[in-house]
Amino acid sequence: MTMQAADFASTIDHTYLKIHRSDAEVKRICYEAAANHFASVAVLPIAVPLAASMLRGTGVEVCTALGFHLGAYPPELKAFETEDAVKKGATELDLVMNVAAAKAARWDLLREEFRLFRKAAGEHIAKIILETCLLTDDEKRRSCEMAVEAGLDYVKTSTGYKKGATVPDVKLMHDTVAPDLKVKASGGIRTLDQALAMIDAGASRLGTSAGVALVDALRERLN
Amino acid sequence: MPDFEQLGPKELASYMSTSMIEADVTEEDIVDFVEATKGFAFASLAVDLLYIDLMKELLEGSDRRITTVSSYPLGGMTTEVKLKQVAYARDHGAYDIDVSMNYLWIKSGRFDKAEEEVRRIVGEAGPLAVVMIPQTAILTNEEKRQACEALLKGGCTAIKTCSGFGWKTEVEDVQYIKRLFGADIEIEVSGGVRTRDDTVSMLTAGAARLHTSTPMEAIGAR
Repeated sequence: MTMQAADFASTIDHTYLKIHRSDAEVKRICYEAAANHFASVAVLPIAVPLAASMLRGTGVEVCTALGFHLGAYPPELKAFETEDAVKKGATELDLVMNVAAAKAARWDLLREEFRLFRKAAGEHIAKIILETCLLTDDEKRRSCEMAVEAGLDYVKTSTGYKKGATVPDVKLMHDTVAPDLKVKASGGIRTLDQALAMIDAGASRLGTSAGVALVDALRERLN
Repeated sequence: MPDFEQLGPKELASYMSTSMIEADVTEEDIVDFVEATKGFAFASLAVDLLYIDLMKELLEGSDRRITTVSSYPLGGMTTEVKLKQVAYARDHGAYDIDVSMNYLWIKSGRFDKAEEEVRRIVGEAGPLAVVMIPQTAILTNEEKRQACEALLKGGCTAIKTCSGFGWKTEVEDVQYIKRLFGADIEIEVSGGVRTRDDTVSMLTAGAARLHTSTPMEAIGAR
């Protein structure tokens, strides 16, 4: 697949979701994201105000990780967390779904969770994280169908704290949600070939902390 | 202090919180968990906020305590979200809540902000006991000291050293905090309590309670 560096950069959610230790780290990824015209910077909620102030006017979105990373609390708390993040300046919301609900085929619980998430996110981009490595293909498919039904914006593979995205999972998710929703591949995307394979499989966004190196690698390859 | 080396599984169980905290823990897993832990008087059973109601139902008529968690395990949630989670745990009948501190503040020396957050959390908790997690695995000794000082000034008198999930407590950390704050702070240990040897050495070092997801191994019953 041939892809221009600018198009590739616009798929990157520049991700920093380890335990946050300094403002300097948050600032660094904001600078990098702005310089490379990435889609967004993804940080933990405590860093949203700083990221929002750094990114003002750059065109880079402020993405944050909610329910992170176990996703095991009631939907009303997740909705509150979503509203709180929006209030503090987040424009894209990545929420870990109730994985156990899918494991137990409690689709009623997921339906309610997704509905409240959509409502709390309002006009902002709502991405639901499936944590695909814990799910069967059927559970992935059903979860994706729930996301379509709720009118979310993206289904996202992984938190990055367990096994990450795979090409077959991205394909399965894309087949299930396109063209209504988009797919974000995340977790373990370290090489350019991996990244391009994810896009080829249907990912519109890549959650990775290796974005700068990936764009550099693509530029080098194109030259 | 008892000679922990001499204690059997039943006595060790009284120092142990056993946890069932993972993304894919289902209601069925919780039912099994309660059943499997019935034979021992564990100090508490720890679950995510999602399962407090079910635990209450399953433990009705028992004096078993329910522990839950907030901003766990990364400490990345805002004060407002922590307060909401704490209020939920309080209203739904948890006994105590383990709350991750804001490590961005601690690692960058903003202990006044950390202290203020603890004060608000303790205020919101009311009868719900608050246990703050300083995450000793990522802190220097000086940061451990200042984090403990901040939570103590904020009105919290119990810590859980680490969150587990990859962050492990060292015996030396327990000894260090015990030496500095032993009279004021109750030390709970999580992260790396797997075997009976781990249990005995952490208790001997001064821990008041231990957390594990492998309770039978940790009390020497298996």
